Amino acid sequence: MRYLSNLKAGRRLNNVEALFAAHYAALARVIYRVVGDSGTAEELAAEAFWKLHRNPPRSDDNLAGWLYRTGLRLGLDHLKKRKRRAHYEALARWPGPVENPEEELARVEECVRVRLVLAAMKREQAALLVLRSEGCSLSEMASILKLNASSVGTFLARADSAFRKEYVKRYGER
Amino acid sequence: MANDEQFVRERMALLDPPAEWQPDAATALGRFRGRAEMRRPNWVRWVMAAAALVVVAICLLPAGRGWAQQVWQWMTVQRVGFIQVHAWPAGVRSPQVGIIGTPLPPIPARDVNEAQARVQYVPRLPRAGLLAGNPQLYTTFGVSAGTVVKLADLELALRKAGVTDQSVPQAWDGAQIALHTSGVVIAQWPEVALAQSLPLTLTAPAGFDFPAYSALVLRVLGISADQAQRLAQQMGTTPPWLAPLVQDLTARGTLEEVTLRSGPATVLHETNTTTVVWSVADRVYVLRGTIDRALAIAAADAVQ
Repeated sequence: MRYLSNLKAGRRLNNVEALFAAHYAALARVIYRVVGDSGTAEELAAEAFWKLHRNPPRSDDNLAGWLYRTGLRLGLDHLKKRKRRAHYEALARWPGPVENPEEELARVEECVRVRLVLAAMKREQAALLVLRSEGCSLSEMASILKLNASSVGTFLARADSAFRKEYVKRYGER
Repeated sequence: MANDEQFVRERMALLDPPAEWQPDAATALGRFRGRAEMRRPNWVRWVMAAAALVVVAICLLPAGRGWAQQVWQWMTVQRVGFIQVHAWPAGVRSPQVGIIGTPLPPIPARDVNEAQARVQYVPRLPRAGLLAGNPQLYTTFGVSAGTVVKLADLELALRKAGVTDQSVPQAWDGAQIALHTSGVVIAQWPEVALAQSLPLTLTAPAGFDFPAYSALVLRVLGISADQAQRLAQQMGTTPPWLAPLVQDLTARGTLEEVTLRSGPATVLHETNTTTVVWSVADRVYVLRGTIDRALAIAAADAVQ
């Protein structure tokens, strides 16, 4: 992922334009994984930049990490707020004609289930799973989420376990 | 359990964004700018201007005093005639020097220690009691200003200036040259603000020949080939492309060179405002406020 290699550079970037150029698209993609809607993902990514502009962190060390943390938090908060509607929204956005409607319906429903499970998890655990699915390494996840690099593997294992437990509790083993 | 990881990975893979979707950073940035413009309070504009002035400061007094004097002489040509310099040729675009990006707004700091922790150097202030009231401290991230070399403009400027024995290397076209401050500390009293940075750094593409570029710009400004060569070597990396910007500055008021205990300083007088710009080995300072010349110089002299 391009943004991953930019993380260190992000620590030196000192203006919003440069941060937008380096991280906006990647951040929107990460948020998309959480919210499942490109328009909302872009809105929330822009909101993360706005928060950086209005209330920047006290240190410019790892501004990129700050942005991803904030973006993920916004995405997960959004998901928690709308989780009751999520199922219907997902179906309403189901695209037009598809080759195999039954398979597509099953896929969409499964996406909804995965997001509802993420919404039910601890925020940090959900963020770890999202970042891993985006291709982040353990050290990158540690940098973004401000975790001890040597503990990320353990945290991830716990997150996997928590996800599965919540999923099975809701929907059974599938 | 490895099983758990496989279980989760399979499900998380369903959340991949559509391959054809490209987030529109340009549109988002445009909206962001519009929002920022509407919401920016006046004091932020003012303090940002102060931070930006630190960038301007280097063209008047860069870190090395030896050649700072040369720069000063060159830049004061139009006013006191140390060297006869012509204006940039009419009808040719001069190098457009501007702040790069949108600087983030300054962040208030509780005290000197907090400001120091952010910028990683010790902020210096005038001795207590000289200026009325206690200063509010702010820090900003680094500020950068620069220009992009435009080969066609430079060649046209050379021709208009009657320089026929010089050509512009093709490799210079599009080269971005930029000056960067460190984190800036701004101390704001009711009527005056002091901004300071570590010495600025100059960046350009690898191998870019600054002396040659400086000499070429000096030729455009009417300096003879020998003198331009000599001045360019003396200036080292001094950016003469800042000349148009300095002309803007001087157009707003009158410039004067004074001597502080720490060395030479430049004082800019405008209608209601006095600005003092100076540098020492490890700092660049800009003091600016609605105070008279004597107090401005005294305050600059009292920075410790």
